[in-house]
Amino acid sequence: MLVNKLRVKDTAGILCTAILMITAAIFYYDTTTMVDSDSFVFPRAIIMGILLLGMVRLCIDVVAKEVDKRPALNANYLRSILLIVTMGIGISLIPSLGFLPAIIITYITTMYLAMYEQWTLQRRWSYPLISVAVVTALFFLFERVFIVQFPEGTLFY
Amino acid sequence: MFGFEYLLAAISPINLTLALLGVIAGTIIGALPGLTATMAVAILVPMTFTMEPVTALIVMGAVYTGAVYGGAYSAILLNTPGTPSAIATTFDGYPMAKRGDGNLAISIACLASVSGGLVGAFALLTISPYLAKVALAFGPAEYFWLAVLGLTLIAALSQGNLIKGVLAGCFGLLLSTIGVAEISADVRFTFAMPALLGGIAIIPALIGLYCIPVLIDLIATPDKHLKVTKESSGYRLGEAFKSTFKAPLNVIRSSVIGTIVGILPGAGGSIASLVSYAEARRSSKKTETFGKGNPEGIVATESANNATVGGGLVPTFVLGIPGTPPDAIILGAMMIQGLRPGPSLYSDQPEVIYTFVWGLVIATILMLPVGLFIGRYAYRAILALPKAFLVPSVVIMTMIGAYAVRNSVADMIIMLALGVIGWILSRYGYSQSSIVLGLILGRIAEQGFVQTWIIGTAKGNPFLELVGRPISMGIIAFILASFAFPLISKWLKSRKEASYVSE
Repeated sequence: MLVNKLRVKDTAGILCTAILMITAAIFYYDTTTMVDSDSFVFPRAIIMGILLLGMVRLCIDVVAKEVDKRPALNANYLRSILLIVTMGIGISLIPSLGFLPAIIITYITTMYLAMYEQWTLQRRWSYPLISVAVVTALFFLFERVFIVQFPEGTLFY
Repeated sequence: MFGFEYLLAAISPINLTLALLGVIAGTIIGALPGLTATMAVAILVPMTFTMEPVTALIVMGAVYTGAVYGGAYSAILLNTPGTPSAIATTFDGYPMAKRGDGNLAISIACLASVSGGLVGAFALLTISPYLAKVALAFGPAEYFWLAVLGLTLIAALSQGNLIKGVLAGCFGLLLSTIGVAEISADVRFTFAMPALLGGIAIIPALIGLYCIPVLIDLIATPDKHLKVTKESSGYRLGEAFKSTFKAPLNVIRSSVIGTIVGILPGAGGSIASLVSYAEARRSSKKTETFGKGNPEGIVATESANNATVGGGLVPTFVLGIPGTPPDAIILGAMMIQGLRPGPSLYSDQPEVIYTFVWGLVIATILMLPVGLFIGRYAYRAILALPKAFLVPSVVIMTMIGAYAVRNSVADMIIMLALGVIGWILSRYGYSQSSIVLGLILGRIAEQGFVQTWIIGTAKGNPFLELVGRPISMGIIAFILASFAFPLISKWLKSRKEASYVSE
């Protein structure tokens, strides 16, 4: 993890614990609709575990005067957020564009996001070309050799 | 007894060539996240129809053993297990690669895999009928406790924050219950989303939880993915040999665990490697270095997961019950070839079985040069690849890998969502390995627990059914010992230190 030493209170840790507990509570509510005890006995035991341990953790985090010093992030996470957004958009484009066009778009966009070197003229035309070749080769490897059925886009029907 | 007379048949040019090609293909397939050993063997089945039965079996065995080893590459170089059995390889393999010892880690993984594979194959060759009885002795209660034994690894993974580690493990267990319940067939925790009906598949979850956090960090800085040092080139075979066999007990213990867990139908390489890792850590003198790049961790996991190959074939041959999913495919292929599994297989068709087992031994030995060679080039490729190609290539592999398991776009969404959740949780002290552990072992634990409870209720004492069987008691004792051992050794150490001070 990209971090450096020193920072403040574990508010985010407390928030994570709280979210886990809320998730467990939602899951517990869902078990109330189950009729067969075989279905809910195991999940309920785990949910109880999460709620109990979560409470202990919250007590430790909230009551404790001395808090662990959490190291701060020292990287620019804007690119990371854009990466996740790109992947999300890429996945959502699959049903309409089809698998191959969607992953080519994802590959090229991600390549631009991950580019830390200078964009020279040669790189400008060669990198996208190589990208298309790499993705197409991978696609056909999986489709033809590993017999994976990829979806075709509804847009091209 | 050992069928030495069939060794010559196993090393015929055609068998040798196909075993070599099988190992190469298996290693490459196993290295690709999302393509499992099961898939590698399944792809091959139609190609083996026209082969001689023994050649067909040797090719499948070679692909299987190569694929199990191949999973270590991506685990070490990308922190993404190529196959589920390489999960625990990420714990120490990736930290080693990060500090510039990726080539050493790969060589260690190769040596350990070959050692484990040979132990499993020799067990198959010599004591199959006796070992098959072990598989029959394991009931649902034993499976439940075996899963609990695997879960004790959470304590080791959550260094410095046990509660957070256990919470993450519980979250993984909860995720494992999503979908249709195995015993009662109730639909659970799908929240009206049809995509969740099939539950959370292990491979997309693994890819998401391990690979997405690496990508998030990788793209955020211009730094190199892996550190390059003076030692970053070459095989470092001597060093690897020393690291692997420095603690021979670790290799033997992990291989034996792998063989035994492999024999148990449904348990598989992931449990074998996790249990071996936990045991290696518990018995090591350098417990605190585990998870930070200790070669002993790689040795334990890789020797165990490759030992499951031979172990899994024991019940497949002797009882007709596949030990692992790839064994189920091998079993099907055997039957197509006209071979009938059963206790008499070794006496009825020794020319096929013994030749195959010797072929498996040869394939495992061939894995050494193949594994080292491919591993070296994989490492160099990862080091040399500019970030602008490395990141998108890994992104595309994660997307295809998550999709390919069930041909499902929903699995890709689950992969991405779990990846983001995993990154956030690990950032705040909740180890993603604990989540994975819960997710994998949850199904086995629940199935074992509920089945035991039903059987016990019918017998009138469910608690006794859960804890009263001899093997269960043995595993429980082992679990308690694994908890007590660090506390006792810590107490003894502090007493020793106190006596030094007083002197």
